[in-house]
Amino acid sequence: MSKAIHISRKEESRAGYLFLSPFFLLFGIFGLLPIIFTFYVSFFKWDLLGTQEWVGLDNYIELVADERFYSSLSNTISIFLLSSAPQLVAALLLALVLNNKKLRFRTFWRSVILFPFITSTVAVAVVFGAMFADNGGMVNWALGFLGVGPVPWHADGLAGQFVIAMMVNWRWTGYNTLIFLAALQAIPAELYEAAEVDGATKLSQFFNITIPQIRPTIFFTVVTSTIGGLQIFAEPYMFSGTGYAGGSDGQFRTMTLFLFDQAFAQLRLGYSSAIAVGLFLIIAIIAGANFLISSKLVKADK
Amino acid sequence: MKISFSWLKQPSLYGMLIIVALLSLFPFYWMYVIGSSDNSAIATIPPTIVPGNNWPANFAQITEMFNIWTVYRNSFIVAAVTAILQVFTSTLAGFAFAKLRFRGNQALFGVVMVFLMIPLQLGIIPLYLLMSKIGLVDTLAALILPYVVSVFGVFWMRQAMLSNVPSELIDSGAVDGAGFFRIYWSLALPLVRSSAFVLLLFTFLTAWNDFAWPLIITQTPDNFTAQVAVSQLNSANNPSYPSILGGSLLMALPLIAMFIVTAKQFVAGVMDGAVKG
Repeated sequence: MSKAIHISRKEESRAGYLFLSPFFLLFGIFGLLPIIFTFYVSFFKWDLLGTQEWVGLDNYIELVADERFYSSLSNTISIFLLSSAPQLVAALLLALVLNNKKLRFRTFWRSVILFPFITSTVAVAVVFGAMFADNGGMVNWALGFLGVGPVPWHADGLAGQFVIAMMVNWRWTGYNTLIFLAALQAIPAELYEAAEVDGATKLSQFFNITIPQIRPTIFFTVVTSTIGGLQIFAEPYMFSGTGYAGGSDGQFRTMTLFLFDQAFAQLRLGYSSAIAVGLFLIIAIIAGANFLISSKLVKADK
Repeated sequence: MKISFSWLKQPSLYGMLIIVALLSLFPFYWMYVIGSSDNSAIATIPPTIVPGNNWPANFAQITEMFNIWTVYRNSFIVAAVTAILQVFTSTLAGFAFAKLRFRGNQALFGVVMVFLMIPLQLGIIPLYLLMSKIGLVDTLAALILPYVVSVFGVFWMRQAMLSNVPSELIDSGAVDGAGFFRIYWSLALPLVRSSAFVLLLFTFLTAWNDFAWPLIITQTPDNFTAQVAVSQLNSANNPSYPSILGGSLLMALPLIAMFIVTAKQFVAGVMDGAVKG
């Protein structure tokens, strides 16, 4: 009997490693290795057709002096700020609305707000590009009643970045609403009952109970929207109508567009790898800062 | 719950939700409006908001740019194969992490959690070089391979295994002499089928909507997927909005149908993910 158990333990650990192996093997080859190799390629002058020459830090020296690197960084951050903050605030408000106990047709409302999430970024960019057309677009028509415009959405940098941010907002607000809604539902009702007994107002309950209780969720959504937002690609690619160039003056050129342009239009794989490393570090710094702040706050709560 | 501000009383509550619903749905409707109209509809004052009857001509124009059925077939193959394989590798690894005892289980899962933070898109250049080395540029296989495994999938299925598969079940199975693969397949898998189904839906959706990778790895129209096809319509030499928006709608239709049928699971999936993650 004891022997049988001994054998089964051995088989169990063998099965464990065996069952994990497809994941680790394939993730290693198609996920991890390319990331590591990106660092390696960034030290070469490497064109797509095969010539490779070690150039040390040359790509990085060129990168820190490249005006396009900074403009693409600022375009990316501008789009990111115009999308993430309004989107998360709107999502939280909507989640409060949907959390109303008396609300009817819950599944219907939840489904409808999640609907935009299934659209591809390409289709979103196409539709928004048409709605925000510079001449005769319906948004400019509507703004006309307010005495505004017409706004040159496709020509002006900031206006276009706003449109791109609207695409992100439209697609993701409902998704984040459901994330917040789930977090709201996990708050113990006793907390509110106790506050009610103490005579706390709804507003003070919101700031003293709701926000601290869902703080981990807020940071989760901030981190995920940061990592996603800094890699934005399809929306500016489609909206600009100029492919990798990101607009006539590069006004919609994001970091990822810049990376793709150098890699697959200019065929400079070494230089574009240096861009990837730069973006990697920026994401790591921002995600790391988020992580530090959130773990500090969570500790402070306890 | 207790949070209900006074201004959120009944009429304004539903009024607000109806406005949000209209904002959510309008772009889809408008794709249909423009997709069924002629070229002038895009720039009329006031804007066109009722469908036209120009579908046949627009449809013909779309089919001139690419073969719709080939594109559907490619996207379906890529999305379905990716989803099935990813669910398989994720449930298998999730089962091992959640239910099997072996040295290094905790440590390896810690490594997986670190993987979760890596922006994989940044490895796209070496990934392209790798595909070109093994001769897979411009093949559907190149669209599938990088997505056969997913860090999130493993994380998700491990959670599902932990909360749905009792450990006694594993032990009783082991005493029976059933192989561990059979325990996974016939005992554990049926218990996590709802989570596995959600992963299947999300992976299918993500693969169908993927753009950057198919854009660079496919070259001939025979291998175009849905999003690459739409981006071709949107190129500078096609100023016809009806075909662009109509094409976008056609390429979104399978997902719209899928969502209507599985909306409940989709919503539950997003909300479960929030609590677990």
